[in-house]
Amino acid sequence: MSGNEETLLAPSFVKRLEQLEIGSRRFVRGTQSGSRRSRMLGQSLEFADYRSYTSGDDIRQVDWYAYARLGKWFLKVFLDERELTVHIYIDCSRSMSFGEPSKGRRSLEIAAALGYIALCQLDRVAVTTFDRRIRTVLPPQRGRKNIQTLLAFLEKVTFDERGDMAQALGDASALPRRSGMTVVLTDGWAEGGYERPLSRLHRATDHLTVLHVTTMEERTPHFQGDLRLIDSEIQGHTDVAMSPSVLKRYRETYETYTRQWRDWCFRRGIGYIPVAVEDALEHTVFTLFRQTGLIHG
Amino acid sequence: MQWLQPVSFFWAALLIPAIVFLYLLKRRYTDRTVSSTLLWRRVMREMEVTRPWERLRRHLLLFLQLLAAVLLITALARPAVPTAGVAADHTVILLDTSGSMLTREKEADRLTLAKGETIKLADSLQGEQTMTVVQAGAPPRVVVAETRDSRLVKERVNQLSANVEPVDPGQSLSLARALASRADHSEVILISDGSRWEIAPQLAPDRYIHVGRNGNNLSLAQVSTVRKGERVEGFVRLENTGPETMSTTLSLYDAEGRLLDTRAVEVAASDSELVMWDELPISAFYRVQLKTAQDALPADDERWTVPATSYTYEVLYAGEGNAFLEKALRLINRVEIVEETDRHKSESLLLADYPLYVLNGIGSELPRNGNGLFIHPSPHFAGWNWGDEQQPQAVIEQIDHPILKHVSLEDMYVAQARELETPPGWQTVVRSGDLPLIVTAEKEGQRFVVLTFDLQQSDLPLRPEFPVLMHQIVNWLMPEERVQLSEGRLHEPTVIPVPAESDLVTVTDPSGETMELVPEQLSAVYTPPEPGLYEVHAKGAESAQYFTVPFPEEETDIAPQPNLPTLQAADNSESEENSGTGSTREIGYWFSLAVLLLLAAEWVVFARGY
Repeated sequence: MSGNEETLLAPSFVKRLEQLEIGSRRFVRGTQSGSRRSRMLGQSLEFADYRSYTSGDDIRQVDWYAYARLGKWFLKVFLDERELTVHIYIDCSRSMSFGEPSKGRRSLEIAAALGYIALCQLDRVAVTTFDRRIRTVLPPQRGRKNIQTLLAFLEKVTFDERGDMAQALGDASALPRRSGMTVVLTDGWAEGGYERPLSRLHRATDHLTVLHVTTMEERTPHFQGDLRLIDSEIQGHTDVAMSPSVLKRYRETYETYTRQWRDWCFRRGIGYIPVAVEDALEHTVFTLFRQTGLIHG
Repeated sequence: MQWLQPVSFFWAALLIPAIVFLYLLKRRYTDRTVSSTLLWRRVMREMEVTRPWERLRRHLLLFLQLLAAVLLITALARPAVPTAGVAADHTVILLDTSGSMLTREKEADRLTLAKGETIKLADSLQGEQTMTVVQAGAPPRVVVAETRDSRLVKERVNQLSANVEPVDPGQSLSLARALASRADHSEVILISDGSRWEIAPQLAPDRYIHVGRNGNNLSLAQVSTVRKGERVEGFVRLENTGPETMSTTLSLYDAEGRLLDTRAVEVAASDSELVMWDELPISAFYRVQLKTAQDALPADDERWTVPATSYTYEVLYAGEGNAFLEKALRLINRVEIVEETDRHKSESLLLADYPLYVLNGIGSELPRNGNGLFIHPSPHFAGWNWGDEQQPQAVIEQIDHPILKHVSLEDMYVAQARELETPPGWQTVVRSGDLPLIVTAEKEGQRFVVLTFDLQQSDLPLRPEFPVLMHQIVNWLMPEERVQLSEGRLHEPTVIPVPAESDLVTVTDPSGETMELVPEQLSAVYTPPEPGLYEVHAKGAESAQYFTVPFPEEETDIAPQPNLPTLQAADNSESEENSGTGSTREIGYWFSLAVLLLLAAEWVVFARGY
């Protein structure tokens, strides 16, 4: 393990990650056999169904016990185990650099953890960073040997451009070429709206989960006095004379905004997991992700 | 509302822009970079849409400060509201009780209304506030002094009756001011109909409560009768001081109450009408009465008149005939000359009972009764120390004396005058050096004038002053008021002539009360308390005498004056407030209190960061 790896993933933390696997609630479609159940029927030990023998079928798959009882040839169908491709999309816009630790840093840590888990489980991991366009892409990697590649890729990610998810994911080349599982890490400040890009992603993948990374300041700000709020990404500012009523109003608006997003995701079967940067990474991964079914084990 | 210190509003011009300026200085937004203003923009937009006052609310502190400044300035301007009640620590009420206050209004007469106002003010006395009530009159009278007891005020005020005689506004207000000056914070309130109140600005009351609206009055301004021989001439002047033409029925009665005549008279507004009678039956007095429908002041609708006898008395004129003297005497129309040319009879004539003697060139003693003018009497006259005839050498000098009014004898020429040592008790009124020319005396009710020179030895009879001098000599010797009294004036000492034999006079006033007077020097002095007919009965006299006291003519003008100068009006000359409506009570401290509350509110707002 290199120093980089230590920065993103603490050694004690890594040991615990090895026992986990990315939980996919659906059968995955893959090309190479892996440790995942696939919708394609195959040669795993997991029984799926019976079907009648047609000429050309492998005679080894005939259930001879059934033939003994019924006098008819039936084939036992087993589920095939295939590899899973985990696509991780990281929002690297400037707004992600806010928070303590920053949302960006926490996103990289989460991406590293998820990637590590996936690579350990022989799944494929691809990482894409985007602001208003696709910034860097890590092509799908497979196997433990690529953990270094993954971490090195993540370490290089910077957060200093204006973001626009709709524009970035508007291009077909930005979408995953292989289906699989997609995780989007973003703080959700999408000026152009989040619905279209997420819909597109959702259509291109088996399962989409949005990790909404937020800071305390965004959820429950405790501002005082008259502030000129300057947007980190777009030009312009908003003058606000802070008062309890204004702050209350903001919290209500924030609640509404996140609830709408969650509801929108829920209706489409998209996973929505709010992540607070203030929470410890262990808590986020071992407790939050487990509870929400993103990982299990 | 009134502003006792309106100049304070200039502060507004300074303070309010200053606050706004400071607020603008203070309103500095602190820059703060946040990840996204997406939701903040949404929040602000929503707040402005759903709560339009939110934009204002952001400036709540500014508005509170401005409001506080406005209130503070308002408080400094000393706002005051008119109050009906008593405002000062010591209130001096000047209550007009003159004749015009007897005017009937719809509800009651003006005096009753004024009393009601006084009692209302007395009822509003609070705490340590005191009240003094002064009855305006000539002279003014303190009814109740510096009391806190409103019941006492009520009691005393209710006992007041109209004074009838005209008020002296200056005197009454001076007294009220003097009484008011005893307390630091005092107020003079005049309660009146304002009629005939001419107020000097420095004496103006603090407040004027006006009573009375009705101005219709038809009055008997003048009633007189004159007896001429066996007939009486009557004369009545009706005056309408009101704003409308009025018609009335005038009735004339004699002493027995018999109706002598009735006339219907119409008098235009602010005009007068005369009614005359040529031949009325002789009566001791007459009564004239008006019956007018809308007349507001009944007190001046009835008057009595005692016929003035055009009294002539006999003058014994004896001695040397002098055409100039005779002519001058005949010019005096109340003198009837009895001529006696028999010089030898002269001494016995002096015993005769004439009221006045004019003896020219004769006479040796003073008459026992009656008055006399003696011109160049005999050298033994009155046993005085007479000398020889001399030519006056020195300049003629005269002193001030009623007989010498408008008469200058200093350039008179006298050829000869008899030397005389002025006897004790006599006054030399005209002299030439040591030589007296005219001497006079007044002794035991008798009056005498003596000329020490012969008229023919002087140019006096030729001078234009001569008839005047004679007229004045006769008038001084026989003063008119000694002759008859027919009319007195209210509240003014009136001299009642009394026959010499009477030592007691009884006067019966119009309300039937009698008063006994002891005469001195053939006259008694009496002060009539009310208008009407007075009966005088001298002890020993055969018949009663009458005299009348008329209702004061000044008080027949009842036109109310709703506006009189007051100090309040002078203070706030720009104010539209009617000066007669009330006093003011300062309400500045309420504004100060509001400022305090506002400061507290401001602190709360600041602390909670609205």
